[in-house]
Amino acid sequence: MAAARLSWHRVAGGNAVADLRSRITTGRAFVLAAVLVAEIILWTLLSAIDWSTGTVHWPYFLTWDNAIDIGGSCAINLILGVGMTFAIIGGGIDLSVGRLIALTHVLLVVVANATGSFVVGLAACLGCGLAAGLANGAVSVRFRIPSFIVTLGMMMVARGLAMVAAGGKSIGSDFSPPLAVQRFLPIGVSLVVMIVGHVVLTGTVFGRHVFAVGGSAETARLCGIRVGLIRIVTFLISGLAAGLAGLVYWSRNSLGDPLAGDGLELYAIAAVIVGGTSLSGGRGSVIGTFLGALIMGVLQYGLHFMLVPTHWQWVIIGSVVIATVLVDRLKRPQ
Amino acid sequence: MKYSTWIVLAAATGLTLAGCQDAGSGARIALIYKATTNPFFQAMEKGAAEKAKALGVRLEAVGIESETDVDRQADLVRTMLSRGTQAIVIAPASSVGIVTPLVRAQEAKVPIVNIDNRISPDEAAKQGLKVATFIGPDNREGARTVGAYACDLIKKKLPEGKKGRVLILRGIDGVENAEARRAGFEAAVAEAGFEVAGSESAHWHTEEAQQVASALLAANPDVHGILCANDKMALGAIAAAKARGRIGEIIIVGYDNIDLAREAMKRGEMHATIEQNPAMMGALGVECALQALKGEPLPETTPVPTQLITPDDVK
Repeated sequence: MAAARLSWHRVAGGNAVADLRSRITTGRAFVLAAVLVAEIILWTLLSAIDWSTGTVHWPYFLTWDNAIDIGGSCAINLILGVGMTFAIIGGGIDLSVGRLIALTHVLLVVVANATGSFVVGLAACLGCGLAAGLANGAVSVRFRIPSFIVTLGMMMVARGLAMVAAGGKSIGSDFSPPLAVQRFLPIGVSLVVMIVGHVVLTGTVFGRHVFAVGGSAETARLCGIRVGLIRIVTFLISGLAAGLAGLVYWSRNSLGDPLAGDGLELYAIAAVIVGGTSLSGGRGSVIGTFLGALIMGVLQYGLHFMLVPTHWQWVIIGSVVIATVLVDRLKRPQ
Repeated sequence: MKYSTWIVLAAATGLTLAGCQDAGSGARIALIYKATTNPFFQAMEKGAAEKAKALGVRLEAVGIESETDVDRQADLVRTMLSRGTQAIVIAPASSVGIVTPLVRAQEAKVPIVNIDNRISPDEAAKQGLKVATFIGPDNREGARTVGAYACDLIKKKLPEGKKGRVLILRGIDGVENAEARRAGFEAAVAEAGFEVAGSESAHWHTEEAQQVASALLAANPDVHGILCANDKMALGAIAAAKARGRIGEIIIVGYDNIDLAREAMKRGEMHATIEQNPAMMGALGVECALQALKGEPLPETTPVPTQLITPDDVK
């Protein structure tokens, strides 16, 4: 059988903008956007009254400073979430991305400090993400090991390597991002990742193949799609996302911290699920993940802002994750 | 501890308190700390809250659950600035990573009081951060004290002329208090003429300490003591010693004086720890933040006295 080449060409008749419009006006994205708006209104109203003195302050939550901070604190989850969306729609999962943040940004700091060149450091950071993604994909596809297991192993490898690269301790960065970069780079990178991710997934032949492979690998193979290659590329994308998240981590903290990123892969998976992507593959969207990550991020920021104790924050965030999926399920019986 | 030492401690405490005292103002002060499940930081928070109440200060205390969630703690700094806090008292999760978010506080003219774990002077200088004062225990001296006590205990049991061998469980390398305690332990061991048989980081965690101590004990079955940079790791070392049937006989000391360590001392499993007075540290933090807010001068560092706690103190 003549195997189809990997194709980034636009789909005939495929239209990312039209797809976006239809998603926003119908179905899940509409529910998600409503939940997001409800959260913002809730925090705005709750924070308007200073409960200890009974005075009103306005605007308190709804300010540009808060909006930028929320964007910054959501950025890593957004970027990991987009990569994770590709991995999950393709029928896999990537548990390594959280700890890969530690490895990629530690490499950025170590290499940039050693060579005196930020660009070389950035290349090491993104290259490491891609290499880890390639290793995840290739081992899992070539030897038919579930990606859950391979990426679980990679998570541990990345954790250890981050420690080795950093010499077992946090290291300061010789390059400190100026305040504007600290504030706007995370937002800029996450927006670009979302837009590119959405266009690739909905508007290219490759994107269609990802859905096909995740929906039914056997059918896809019979249709001449190179299933293994598509799967490997989804993990490359997820690895690249981890590299970009490493860049964002550095820009926010100007630090090489080998313990960073603990548990963030689960946060990203939660954003993907809230966003309506099916864990069994073949169904999902980048826009959904984007909204899912924002719902979790605005909720978390608001809880901090309202001084809700951390332990309760977990209870509330977990409940909202389940409730959002439940609302969608009830709205569209299957 | 000698009577005269107590007098010096009391005098030092009185002076530091006098140095920071003033009447309250309804000012909004944020306490941003870490490891909310660690009794040490719970005591610090309580001390700060009580002092804030006494001074009429509005204290908003927030913390991260882990010791190490640098990114989340940075978020908390930004959140508290958005809430309009007027001064920040911070116990940093990372002495390097916290500098970047704090620079923004400085630009907003919000004074910063650094407690517990000193912000890296190099990184602060690089980014132009100036804190009002640092309030913290002398970790090196505290570790040297408890380390020397452990070495004395071991010496009493050893035959004349035999060299004691000890293990060191370190905190997170590169973090100032961890480095200071390690230096204090090493100084005490050197002063006693002992030898460090093994030294590893267990990142302040009990479980990790158990694994690390087990491995070190397996490799060095002849060691006489384990010096742990905090009590949580000492608890892990106790579990490891128990598994090898060496509990009670091997000298284990820690740092922080948490309740579980006191119980372990009552059972004879642990032999000493250091009380750092976290409640006093929190209280001083609030007082000094208020002073900084009023533009009053503060010393570069404000030491909090530490004291040695032995099984005699907990009975």
